[in-house]
Amino acid sequence: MTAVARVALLDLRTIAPYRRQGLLLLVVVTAILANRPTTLVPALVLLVAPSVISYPFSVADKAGLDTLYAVLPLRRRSVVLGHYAWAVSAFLALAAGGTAVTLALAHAESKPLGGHALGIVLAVAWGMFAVNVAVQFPLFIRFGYTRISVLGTVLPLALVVIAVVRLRVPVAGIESWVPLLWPIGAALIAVSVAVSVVLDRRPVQIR
Amino acid sequence: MLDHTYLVGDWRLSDVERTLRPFYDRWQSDRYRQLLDDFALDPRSRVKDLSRGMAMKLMIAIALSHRARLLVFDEPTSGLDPVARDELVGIIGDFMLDERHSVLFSTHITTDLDRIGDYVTIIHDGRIVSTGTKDELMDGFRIVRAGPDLAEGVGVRLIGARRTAAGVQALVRTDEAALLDADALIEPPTLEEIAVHIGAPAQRSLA
Repeated sequence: MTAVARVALLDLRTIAPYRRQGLLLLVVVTAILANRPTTLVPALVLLVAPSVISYPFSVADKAGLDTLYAVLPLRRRSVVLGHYAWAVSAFLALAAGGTAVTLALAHAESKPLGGHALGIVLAVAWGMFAVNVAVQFPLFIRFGYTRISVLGTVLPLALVVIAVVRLRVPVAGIESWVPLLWPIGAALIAVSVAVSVVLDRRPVQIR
Repeated sequence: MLDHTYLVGDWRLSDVERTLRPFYDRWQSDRYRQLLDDFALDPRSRVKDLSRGMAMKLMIAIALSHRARLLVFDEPTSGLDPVARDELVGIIGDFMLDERHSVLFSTHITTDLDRIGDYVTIIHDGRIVSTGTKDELMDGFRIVRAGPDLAEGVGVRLIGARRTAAGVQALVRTDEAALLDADALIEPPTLEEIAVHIGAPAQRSLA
């Protein structure tokens, strides 16, 4: 197992004691959107994913896990990359689970959902997730969750709204441009990783 | 090891093992379980429920489970009751029985040094005052007790002199002790006396 994968697993273990709350949120969102299956995956990514992917930072702040990261046989860069690997893994898990539930619900309600529609839904979900991670993570890594949690939540949403309004995104012709969200999202995350690695080059503060 | 844990408070001690194991190639799970048993730590306990002494034992168990050969402690026994302190010093002493093992620790409790210290460095006001083996340190100083008229003579410096109407007590370097009056009582000091006199404020007469 690589160092990056170990850190991603550490993030999973960090939030494991609180899995019941996460599952409850998952069930509530799924129940609320059960009659609108196509909105389930974006809703999961918009409502559940931010909490899930940022929770390791929250717990780390409270427990002083920065010290643990410092004493483990790890390079700081691996810690940063591991957080991103955790986030992408969480997205994939949520998207896969959400897609499965979406298909099941659509089938149960006799509302066939084609692969094209599903592709659009997943691309939009990925785009939202990428903006969220790209903005939040450098802030969390540089300033910590506690100091940045509100800004880290509001800023990505504000950026998405501003982009849609200012760029006059043509929602009607969504099929034509939405596949671009995959590479754009990946590029955003890559830039965010680079920024986070630079921002993380600071003396370790022992609490 | 710091004077607090840097683990998630809601982790059980069994979770700690599962979480840290992937980071160490030489991790020994059976040794970890054995150490928990030896230290009377319940694997089902949560980190946040451990007392300070138990938390220190957990951190030692973690270190020994990946076969660390150097342990670095910050005030390992401060804040512990006498029984817990005795037990912890015993554990550190057992660790040092293996000649490949070393322990570096800071402390204000000199009785710990009496039991397990081989080399002692005294730091006062951020400066190293003395460093060497414990025996060298003990041999390097003497406690002098004399009447109130004892004064610093040529070549003799009274370190941390305490003056009362009844007399003077001070620390002197062993090679200077022979220059003192024959009436002065000169004895080997304890580590506590060395630390107290070196750290005492500038000489002040209480008479």
